[in-house]
Amino acid sequence: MKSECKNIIKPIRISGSSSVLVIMIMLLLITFGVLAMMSSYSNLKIAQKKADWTKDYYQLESIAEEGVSHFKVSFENALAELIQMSELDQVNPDFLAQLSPELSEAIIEDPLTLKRNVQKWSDLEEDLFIHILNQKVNQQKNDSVNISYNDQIFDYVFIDSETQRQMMVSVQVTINQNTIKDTDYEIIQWREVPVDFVYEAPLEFGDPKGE
Amino acid sequence: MRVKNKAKGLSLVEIILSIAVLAILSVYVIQMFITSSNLNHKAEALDQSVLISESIFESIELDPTLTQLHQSAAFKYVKESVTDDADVLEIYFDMDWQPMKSIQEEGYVLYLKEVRVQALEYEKVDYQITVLTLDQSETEMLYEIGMQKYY
Repeated sequence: MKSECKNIIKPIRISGSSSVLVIMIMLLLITFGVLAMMSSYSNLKIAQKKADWTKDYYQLESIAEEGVSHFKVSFENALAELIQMSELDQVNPDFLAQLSPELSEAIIEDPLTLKRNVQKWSDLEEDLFIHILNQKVNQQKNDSVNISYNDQIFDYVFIDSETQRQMMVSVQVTINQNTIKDTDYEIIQWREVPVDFVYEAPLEFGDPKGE
Repeated sequence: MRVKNKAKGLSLVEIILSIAVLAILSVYVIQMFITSSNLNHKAEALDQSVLISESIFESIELDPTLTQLHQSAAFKYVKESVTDDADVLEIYFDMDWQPMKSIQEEGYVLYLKEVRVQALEYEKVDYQITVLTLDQSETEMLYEIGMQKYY
């Protein structure tokens, strides 16, 4: 009798299974809900980041625009000064002290006949213009702009003090030696300087040879 | 031998309780999905306003007279007004960012403010774009961006 009882298969008790089903459904829904929330939140965060990035970019560009407009003014003033000197047939003595030593010596050597000597004046005119322009441009230098000059190219690096983003603008001056009035400039580069990405903690790579 | 089967399936009480618990907890889950949808909607609106603002600025850089801008699809129903110190362009959009003549119930409005300042040696133009979300009851700032040009 006892062995017969042991062989009877007890039916699976299904009381309480509805609660298990409810718990499973709820877990599933909550999981998907949390995933959807996380995805939407990161979506909004990236949209906000792009919006801020764009805003900062145009702010930086405005700083660069202002700097370039100052260059334009300096360029026009330098050209006007040079043309005035040329027309007056003499170099402004104030510039003598400020000019480069070689240039200064050349002018001191022969200040009166310099303009009459066409070849000399032509050579001098180019250097003089760059010198005057350099002087005027360098007056713009401050914490938010770095200016360097090399081979008729002025390189501006504008720095936005708020975001530390940098914009590089290169302006090439083309001097027309025959007619100095036709001297012009051209913006040859206008780009944002990529900021180096630095890890907070240095990366530790394993030894590839396994030694 | 008689086998007594006590498990006769789900009782009515169990089903009612399950549905009640499911209903109560579903409120929070549905709320979660609604919040998620709202966040997605907000992100899309922000992306769209950035895109439109950016295209307006790029168009201004190409053509400061704004002729090209006035020919674009977004400026189909543009409203112009002049205040003491600025020219203001006003564009209405529906919820799908299609330009509209006016806001019906809800949508977006974009203001392009142009302020000209004449200096001695150059003219400075300050462009300011503001995008607002218009709802039946409230107005919310969505995005603001500015740009200065020197001529």
